[in-house]
Amino acid sequence: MTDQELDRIMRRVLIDSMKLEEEGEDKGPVFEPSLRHRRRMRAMLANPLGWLRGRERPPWRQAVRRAAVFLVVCGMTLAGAMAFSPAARTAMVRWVVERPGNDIDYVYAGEQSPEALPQYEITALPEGFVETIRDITPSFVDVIYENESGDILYLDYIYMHQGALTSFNISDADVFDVTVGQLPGTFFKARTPGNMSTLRWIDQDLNLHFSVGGCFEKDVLLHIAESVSLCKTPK
Amino acid sequence: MLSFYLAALESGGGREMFAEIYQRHHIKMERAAIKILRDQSAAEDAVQNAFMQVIRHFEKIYEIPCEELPFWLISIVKNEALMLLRKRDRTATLKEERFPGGAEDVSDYTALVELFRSLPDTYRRVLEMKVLLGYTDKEIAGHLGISETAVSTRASRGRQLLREILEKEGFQL
Repeated sequence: MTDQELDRIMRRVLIDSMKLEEEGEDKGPVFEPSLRHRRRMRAMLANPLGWLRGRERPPWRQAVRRAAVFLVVCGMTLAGAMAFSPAARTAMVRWVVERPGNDIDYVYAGEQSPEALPQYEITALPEGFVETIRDITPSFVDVIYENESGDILYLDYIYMHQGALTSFNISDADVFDVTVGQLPGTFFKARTPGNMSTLRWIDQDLNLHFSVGGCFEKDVLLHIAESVSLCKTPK
Repeated sequence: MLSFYLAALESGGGREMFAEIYQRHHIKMERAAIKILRDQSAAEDAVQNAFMQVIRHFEKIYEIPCEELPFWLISIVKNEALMLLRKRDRTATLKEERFPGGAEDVSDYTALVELFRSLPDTYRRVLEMKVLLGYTDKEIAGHLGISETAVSTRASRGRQLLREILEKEGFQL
């Protein structure tokens, strides 16, 4: 008997065992859909693909992606607009902060890193959080930590270079100046309970712009930020 | 080809088909989710996650015989429910369960089905995901929180059990 034939029979046996199980089902708890669930199902039926895309892209991810997309979109535009001489480029500040409307944009300048980015991690993780995702691109690293409840903490950092931009929407945030170690940073405190707050700081020596975010108070995020260190083990 | 099927979901016809699948089968899926999770909010998450999988793999709908579709859907929602259960209580599905014997007691097809129904959940889930849903070992490992080696071992034990019974009893299926 070939494996294909065996799998065909297995398929039938499994389906019949599911039928058998269904017939013998006891009266368990009853599914009583909440209003929120019904609303979501209505949205799903109206536009399945749109609903899927929305569900696959939680807000924190949108912000991260937005930064990554800008790396590409702004590349050509800024490269043309910022025609600095090599000497001037070396001497200039590597970032500019702009505030169009409800956004804070960090616009970077300078050469792209010739080497792969170093790998950093949060060493003072809140209890129960473990690293679950590490997206590495040539100039941007995004690390996600999750706990068993599905709460998220993220660390991302970008190499500041011409053509890159990080944009942050502050319509739901109060903005405070902070110091991370000895480096100046900004704390974006979410106004809506349950939304993530973000802490950003720039390390000029490394030419990296870091951010950490999660549903934490300022002091906790500061402690987390100050614990960011080079990975002890290769990633 | 996948983009063709996903494009079908953008069209009125594809959406109608999807809506019909939902109307016909959502109650059974909801029942399966609440039975495993025993928590309304978690069961709603499992059902929503299951429909995300259905949309992502909408092209498979066209390949599945109508009579098998409800079991395909129930299998998906059970997997999603177990994933949530695993997140909630990591020990719930990670514990190693012994693979049962029992091949010698099988004398007809009904007994064979009953034997597979009584397999430990972790074994049945692996077989269902592999054979019914066509998931890769890596995907199954991710869903169940076990290693790919464990997935492969469980699948091959299941196949071996079935092969032994078929050869012993000479079933013609």
